[in-house]
Amino acid sequence: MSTTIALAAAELGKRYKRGWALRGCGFELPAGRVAALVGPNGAGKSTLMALATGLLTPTTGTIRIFGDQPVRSGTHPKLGFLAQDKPLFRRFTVAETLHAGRALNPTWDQAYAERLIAEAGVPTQARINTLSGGQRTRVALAVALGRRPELLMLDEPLADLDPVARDEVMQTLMAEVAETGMTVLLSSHVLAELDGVCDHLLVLAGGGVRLSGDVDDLLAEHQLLIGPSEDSAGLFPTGSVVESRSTGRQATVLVRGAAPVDRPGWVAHEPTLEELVKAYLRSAGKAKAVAEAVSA
Amino acid sequence: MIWVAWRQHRTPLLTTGGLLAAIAAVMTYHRFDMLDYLSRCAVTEQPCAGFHDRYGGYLQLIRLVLLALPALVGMFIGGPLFARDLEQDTHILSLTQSVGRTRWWATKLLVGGVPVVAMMLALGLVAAWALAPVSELAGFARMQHMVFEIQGLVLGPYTLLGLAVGATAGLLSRRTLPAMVAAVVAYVVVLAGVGVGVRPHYAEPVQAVTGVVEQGSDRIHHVETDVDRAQVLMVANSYRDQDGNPVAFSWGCLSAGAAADCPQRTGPITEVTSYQPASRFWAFQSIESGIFAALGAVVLALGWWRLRRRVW
Repeated sequence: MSTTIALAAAELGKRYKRGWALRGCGFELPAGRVAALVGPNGAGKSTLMALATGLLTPTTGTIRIFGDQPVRSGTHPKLGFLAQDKPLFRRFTVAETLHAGRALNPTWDQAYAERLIAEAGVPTQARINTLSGGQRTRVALAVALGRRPELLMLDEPLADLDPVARDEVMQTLMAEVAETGMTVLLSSHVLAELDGVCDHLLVLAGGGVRLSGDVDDLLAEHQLLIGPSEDSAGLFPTGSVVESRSTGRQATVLVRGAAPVDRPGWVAHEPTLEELVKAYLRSAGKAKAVAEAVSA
Repeated sequence: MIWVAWRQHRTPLLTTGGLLAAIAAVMTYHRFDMLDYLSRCAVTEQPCAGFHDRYGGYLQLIRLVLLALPALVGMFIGGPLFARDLEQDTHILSLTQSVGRTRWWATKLLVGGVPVVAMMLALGLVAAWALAPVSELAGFARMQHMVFEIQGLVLGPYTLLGLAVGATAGLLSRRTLPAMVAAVVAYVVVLAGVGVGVRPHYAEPVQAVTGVVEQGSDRIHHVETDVDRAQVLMVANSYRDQDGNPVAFSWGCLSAGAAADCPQRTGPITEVTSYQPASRFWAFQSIESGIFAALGAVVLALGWWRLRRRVW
């Protein structure tokens, strides 16, 4: 049985006037996953999402939503998108915002959107520009979910929220995911927000995909090894080391897929999600710095 | 999308509609008031000399308002039409639903812009009707500059151009303020350029001999004609020798003891005036309307073309 792929990219690239924002991206996001899209600022996260919605067209390669390439006549009906900074018409009331959602979408579940607003406790006659950041996010989420998407993409949805509002938004989101079984792609540059929520990971750095896969598989495939630093050179097969760092006498090495290291002085354990992602992002950063130094 | 565009733009639309209706009402009132005044002073056979005192202020003001309106509409309706969305990122909200770019663009123009063009067209026709009583008054003869522009068919197309420039500049610059400035500058420059450089040539001018300089004279004798300079659109004065060839004739040749190379030394000179008669008013209105409508359409097409390849 083949799994349905909600979002897939192949050789995907986007070049702006200032250079490539994404290049040679390939990944598959299976349906039903809650995926974290992580990467530093400028890694291409927003570009990737804009390509999926059809706001941007790829320079190279393809991106597919449930097998279909984006068209120019609107975003794929199965795709819901919550853009960065959650743009809403500021002078509309909440009720008018939902009316707009209904007017802009042939498949619109008004009862569902109204229920989400009611659960958020946002007064329907309030103007958008009088709402708090948390309330505004809940309204934007209701608009995105009102289309009844099977894939929901959220670009930095928690960035401007206080900790309480973050929890509320994530709880709402996870409750809807549990109820509908939809696929979620959630971007963030703060990993802590996503730990324990996401079961799939997509690491983007320097315009390329560094790592993608189910979180459990990825964690099982990697080992974090700690041992004496003078001993680390040549210990691991080339190609398997993701990142090696030494602080004084102690070396910390993240290895992918290697057999257990049985050597005195070394301890191995499964990395946490945060350790894993940070190691990949740091190694991507170093590679970039080296590349820049060589070309300079 | 129609509902969204209406909700977004209804406030400026309703405000503009109210304002234009008020202006139309003021002009209607003054039409009947002026007709009444003129008929009374005609019956009593008193000179209607008080007319200027009574209506001069109104006429100057309404001229100013009607001249400024297309620029103001271009600024306040056209400028923010797309630029406000782009500034507040709400275009992303609209374009990530089930609405494509072309539909978004066209609907906003049709709902947020076209009604104002239609209202301005109507206001121009009301103005032509309301100013008819003074259409032969010196300074308000409707073929003349700054009078031709405030009535008839042209107000609609003028507004279309101002609006198109404002909207398209907003689409390209993504900012409201530069779009507003562009609308005003484009309207003023194009209107002045067309009025001075193009409008006099919509049709072959009518020519009439309006003066004669006798051989050896330094005086010009004006000839009685039915050309009323206050009623027509002047195109040019030219001077001809007795064979009808154009000659160079300067004002210096009309001073005592004119230079020996002045053309009247060798024969009589006639002054020929080229003009566009007032009877061509509606024909010229149609031509000018066509020009502005075409320019507006070109600007809109440019915006649409850029929109399709725009990076957002």
